[in-house]
Amino acid sequence: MNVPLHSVPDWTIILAALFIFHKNFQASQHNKNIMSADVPTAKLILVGDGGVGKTTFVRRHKTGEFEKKYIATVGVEVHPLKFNTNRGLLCFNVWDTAGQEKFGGLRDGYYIQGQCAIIMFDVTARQTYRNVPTWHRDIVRVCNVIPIVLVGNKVDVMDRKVKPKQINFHRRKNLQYYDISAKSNYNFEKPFLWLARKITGDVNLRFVEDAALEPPEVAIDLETMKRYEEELDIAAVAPLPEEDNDF
Amino acid sequence: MERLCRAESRPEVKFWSLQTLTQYFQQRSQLLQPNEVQLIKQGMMSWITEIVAKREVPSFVKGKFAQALVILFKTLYPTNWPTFFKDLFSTLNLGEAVVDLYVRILEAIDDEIVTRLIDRTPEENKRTTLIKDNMREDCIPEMVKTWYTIIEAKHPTLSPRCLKVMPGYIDWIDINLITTDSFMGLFFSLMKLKEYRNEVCDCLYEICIKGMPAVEKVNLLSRLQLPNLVSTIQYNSDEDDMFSTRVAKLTNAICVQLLECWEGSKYDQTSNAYILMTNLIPLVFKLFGDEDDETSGNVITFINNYMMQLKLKQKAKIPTNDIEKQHVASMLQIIRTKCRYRDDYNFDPLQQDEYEVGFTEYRRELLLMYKNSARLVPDMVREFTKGALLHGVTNLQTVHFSEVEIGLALFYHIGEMFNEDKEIINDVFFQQCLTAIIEANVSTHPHESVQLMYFEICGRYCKLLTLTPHLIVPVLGSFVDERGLRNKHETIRSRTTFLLLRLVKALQNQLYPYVENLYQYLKEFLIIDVAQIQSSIALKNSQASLNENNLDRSLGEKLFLFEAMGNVLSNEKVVSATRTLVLEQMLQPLLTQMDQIISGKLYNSDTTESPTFSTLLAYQIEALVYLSKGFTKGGAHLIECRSVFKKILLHNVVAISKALPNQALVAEKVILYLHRMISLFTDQDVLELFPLIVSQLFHAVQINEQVQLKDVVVLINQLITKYGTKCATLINDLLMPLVGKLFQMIDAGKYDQSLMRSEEIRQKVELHKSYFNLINNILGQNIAQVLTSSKNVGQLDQILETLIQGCNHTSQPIVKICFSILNHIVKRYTCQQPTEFNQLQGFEKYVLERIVPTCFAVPMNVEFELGDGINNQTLGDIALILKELVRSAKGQDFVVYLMQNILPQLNVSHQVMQIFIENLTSAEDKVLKRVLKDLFKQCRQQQQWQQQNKI
Repeated sequence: MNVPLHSVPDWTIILAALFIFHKNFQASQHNKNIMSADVPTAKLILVGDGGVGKTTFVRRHKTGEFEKKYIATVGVEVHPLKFNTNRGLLCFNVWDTAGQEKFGGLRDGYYIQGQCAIIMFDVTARQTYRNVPTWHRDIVRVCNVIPIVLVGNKVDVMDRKVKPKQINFHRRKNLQYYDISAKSNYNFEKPFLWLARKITGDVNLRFVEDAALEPPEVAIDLETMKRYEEELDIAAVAPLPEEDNDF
Repeated sequence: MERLCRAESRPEVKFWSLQTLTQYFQQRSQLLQPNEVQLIKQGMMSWITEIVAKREVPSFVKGKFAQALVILFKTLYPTNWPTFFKDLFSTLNLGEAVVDLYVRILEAIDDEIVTRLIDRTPEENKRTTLIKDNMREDCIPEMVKTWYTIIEAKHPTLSPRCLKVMPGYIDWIDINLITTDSFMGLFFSLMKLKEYRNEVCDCLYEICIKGMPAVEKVNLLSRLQLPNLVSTIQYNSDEDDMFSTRVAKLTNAICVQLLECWEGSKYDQTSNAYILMTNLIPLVFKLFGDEDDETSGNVITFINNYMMQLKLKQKAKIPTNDIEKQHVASMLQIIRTKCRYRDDYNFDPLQQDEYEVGFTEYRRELLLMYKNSARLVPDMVREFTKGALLHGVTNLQTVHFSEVEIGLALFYHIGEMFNEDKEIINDVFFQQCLTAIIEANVSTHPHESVQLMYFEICGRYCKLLTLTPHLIVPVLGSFVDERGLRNKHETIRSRTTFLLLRLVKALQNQLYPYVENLYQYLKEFLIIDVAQIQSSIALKNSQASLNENNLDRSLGEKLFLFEAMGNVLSNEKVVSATRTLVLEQMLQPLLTQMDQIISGKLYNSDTTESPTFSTLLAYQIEALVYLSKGFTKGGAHLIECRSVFKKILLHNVVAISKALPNQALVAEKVILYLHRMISLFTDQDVLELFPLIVSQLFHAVQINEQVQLKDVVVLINQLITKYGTKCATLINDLLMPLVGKLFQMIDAGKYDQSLMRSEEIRQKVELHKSYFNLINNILGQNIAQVLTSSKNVGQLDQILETLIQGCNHTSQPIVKICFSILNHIVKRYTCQQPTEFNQLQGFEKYVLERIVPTCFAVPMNVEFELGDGINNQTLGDIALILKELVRSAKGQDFVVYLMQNILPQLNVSHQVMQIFIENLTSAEDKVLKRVLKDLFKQCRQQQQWQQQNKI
């Protein structure tokens, strides 16, 4: 079969691309309008495998959810998440590429001019952690060196598959890591605070009031989790059982 | 497309064009005609020479171009583009922008072809190996030269980036190309320059960890003078922690290699490796003690390995010598210093930051090292610990709180390394230390971290107090007054509540004289009032507390106190009248309140947002559950108390359950109460009361979504486990409707298992699991006859089918349970005596055609990880199933069946089959499991190999 070069059907992608850039531009204009002109704003790209909880996570933030801009044609939602800091208001325009994982073709176009990123995986699904390096590579290729936070979501689920000890990718690449639980709001602000400090270069930056979040759907029992970790610790020093003693 | 690339269009358009090209190369390159390939190659190369070399191109476009080019390269090289590197190298004289692009291409080659971080299919791996093999011959020597040129130029951005890309290559290219005198000379000189030294360290590190025999490696390292280099590096973590962490990483890597070599020489003290290593150890400890935790943490791999070697050396009967002991001593001292809390450490969990989190994590790791050394040199560690402890507790008023704290913490942690009943209780060291702590009144120290450690120690070593009865009262006092339960710090209050329970459990036989006294102290905590429930609910509804549900926790902690009281009261030595009196005093407010709520129908004022009274009732039931725990132990002296719980069940709990049938929380706690009563009641009571209770519960499940079927199944399981055949009638009656309901709720197991991440599916999986547990229990407790009774036999086929379905489930625990069930079934089937299964017509067909093939199909699946712990147990059950069948009366027939129908499908030689059958016939269980595992490993490798070859 011979498909001549100039009639490749991927033209549609290019047209879509042009359209996205047009819309991008509109979105950024829109964001400028809804915020007072001088709120410092950063484009944050939120990536990770499908189903890890990116959309749930970003929707926890009430005002961001309210003011989000949906670009229907390409399925991108831009959520302006505002945080009150001791240095004034700060806004992250979070680009949630939810559902885009399947159409790999367009995805890294969204990263252009990204100023910081969150890579999310699901601690109850190992494969989503294994794919983190791919997400990281794609971001670095387009954005060079930007601050990136790695987050492991769903730590409220008892049946955790990716254990804290197994999470080491961030050490190799100098990323910051946080356990989070979008459902319980656990550590919701941590990634944003870290990114805010990196972007402003101000290590003393603090959030001065809690962001308005949706109420937690599940309670996370930190005490139990702490005890669980301690138990793991004890397991680590205990002598290894002889092999095959489980028959 | 070509035109788009070259057009004077916006960079975004270029980006998308390149993206399209990348995709095209990836997916449709085989459609290209040779002349088109030629055109594309030329187009791409001329883009470098015409666009990149002559115009400004934004970096994201360059990155995308590099990716597109490398993807194209990946499909064409070497066969269809043998001159790729030659073409590429020829552009390098076109200026900085092209060199910049060249470095990006090198990065893209690493990303797309080399790095192991990214998952690749076996097919892709084959392709990339081929590419790498060709590159080694074709271009690597030349490429290394380009690196040298780029680095030597000391370009502010390109040289560091080139250095950054090199480690990825050093791993797989000929090391001799890098370890030349000129390259090393360049490295050493760049080591002195701030802009390059970090990247140089990374390159040297990569050379250190490159795979080669240890002896050769050590020769190489010493030829390159790396040990000398690191010991002369000037670093300062205060000014440049990125550099100090790298120095530590490099030193660590060198020492790890030297250590390995020393081990290989059977601990030869005259070996070159040993001499080099001991020379570096002072540097290692200097780095270990560095203020910067990351720098410090980068050398602990070596220190841990070194300690392990000393341990192995001891095992080989070579004692630890003085120099080595000196090393251990330095390590202990550094751990003691590094573990101390700094003044700016924030103990309030709600205000903690990365610093606190990181420090806590590192401290834990350090304490682990400390604990491990207690196995290596126990006497020395005891001595050291005692010194650190006494230094703090004898100078409580004068030394910094963190010195007191670390002394206590070290003492607390080494307790883990000794057996409580054998070693600790007989070791005067622990006795002395504990006495010193209590007598020094550490509990009165103003700092919360010291207080917390004090209570942790009391909790861990409380058994020792049985030897020093005079200390019991002071300790108990510290737990219940303003130092413990009434402390101003929430953390301490919460921890002492839990630890008090431990203390009470350990000192049961000593505490009986203080029952009334203790009750007086705890009385105010043993009441759950409306206000507390209300504020707890309010807190839950608000968003103020995001991370912790404080009040709920304090409610939960109360339960520990109820349990503690139950434990003290149930002791035999407590005067009977006292016991009755205190129990009555405790229960009276609780039961009165319950009665008031029920008779006054106060719960009618509950709303969905604040279900105050039903929540209160639920917690009260739970408090009773915890209180009853102590009374489970036998003993005639408790008969009276047990009847109290029976009365409560019949009078209060049943009434609550009836009044509030729609409250999930109440239903949950009622079931919890029933669980306790099964172990608390006499057999007669249980067998009399429970058939009715269980039927009613099951009825409730049918009409009411708030009662969880899963919980009811667990309750039934408890009954089966305790009463076995005695409850056969009950199970026989229940089985049919119960299983019917279960099937309905789990869509007969046909839900989408790949969606394990959704909450709904997770719940189905849980319920599914509880169903299999039920079947497993029925078989394990010898009431299998209920499965084939006239009432239930109609459902047997379906049940048997679900077992095969369960063996293929994505959840490992379910697979394990199902094979365990099949094992039970096969055992009863092969039994000499008549059993329900071997008497059943057509059952042989199920065994041979369903069970046996499943035993082979499941472990052959690539998703089934053979090394996994749970799967290992599953393999054990499979081995037992096959063994039972081979060794049964019809074993000969079964062997023939295996040889003809099953084993040939595995594609193994006749000899392998024979050996396998032999093992099935005679090997021990352990051996058999290993044989089975090996067989599957081998078959799967073969299968994979065949599939690859097909491609």
